Amino acid sequence: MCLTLPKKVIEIKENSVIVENHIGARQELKTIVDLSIGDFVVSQRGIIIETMDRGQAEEILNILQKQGGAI
Amino acid sequence: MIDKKVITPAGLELLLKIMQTCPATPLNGGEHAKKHLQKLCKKGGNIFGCELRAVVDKELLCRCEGEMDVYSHLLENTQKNFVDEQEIMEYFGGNVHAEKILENAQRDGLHPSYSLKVVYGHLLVPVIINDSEEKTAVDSNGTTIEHLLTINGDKTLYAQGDIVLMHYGFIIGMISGAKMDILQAINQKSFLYNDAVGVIKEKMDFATMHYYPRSLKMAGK
Repeated sequence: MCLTLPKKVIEIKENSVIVENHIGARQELKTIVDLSIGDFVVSQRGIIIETMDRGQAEEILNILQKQGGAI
Repeated sequence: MIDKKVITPAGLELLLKIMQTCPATPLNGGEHAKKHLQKLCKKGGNIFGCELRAVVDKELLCRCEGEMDVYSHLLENTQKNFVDEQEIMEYFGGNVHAEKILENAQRDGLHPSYSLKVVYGHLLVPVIINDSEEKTAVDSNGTTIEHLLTINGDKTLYAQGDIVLMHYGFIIGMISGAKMDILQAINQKSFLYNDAVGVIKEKMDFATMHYYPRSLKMAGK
């Protein structure tokens, strides 16, 4: 349910998108929004539902890093 | 039968405040739920379970399954024919909600101790305002809470000593001492809440949580 973690778009395929999360894990997702490589997105249950402003995404990732949030 | 259960006006009002502070609802963090729950609140009186469940499907490109889970749980897991404030507090302040949050946090790859802070942040908890200017509070364990926010448009002047409800680092309104006791008892029955309190120890600073930038936006800052 936590849709606040940004993921970065790595590759755009014909019917899916490859994204990478804050710990470098990659996932193949469907999307309902238009995307470009390098965009930050939020997803839920396998679907990208929103793009996130780069500044906000980087702020969130910095907070996670400072807090040792990632495994 | 669950769609014929009703949600009381007080229950709906509390649910609206909680959903307004949840950055996890899709399409601009809670805006969708806010809009439709507000409409139901304005209608006045009890609303049926089917009306609540319909909120999730309205004008959405992608249904928020998490939001649907919440509404379904509220309607399916009460023995009563209505969902009131007590049911809402039981759900958002208790272990069922905490377990879902922990599961999601771990799936998202968050560190176990940080995940417990995330659990605490998501739970509905009563706190007492400590400094209204600096928006700090203290919870029943003596933990200081920093960088609290208020819902966009909330003009209430919270004063030192006020007992308020906290969800996701937002103050979502005042409650009586009696309700504080009820919610504290609900919190304390949740083993994950107790684990989280053990991790947080002295201070919970919401500005250090990864959802804070999104919460700031939702608070209109």
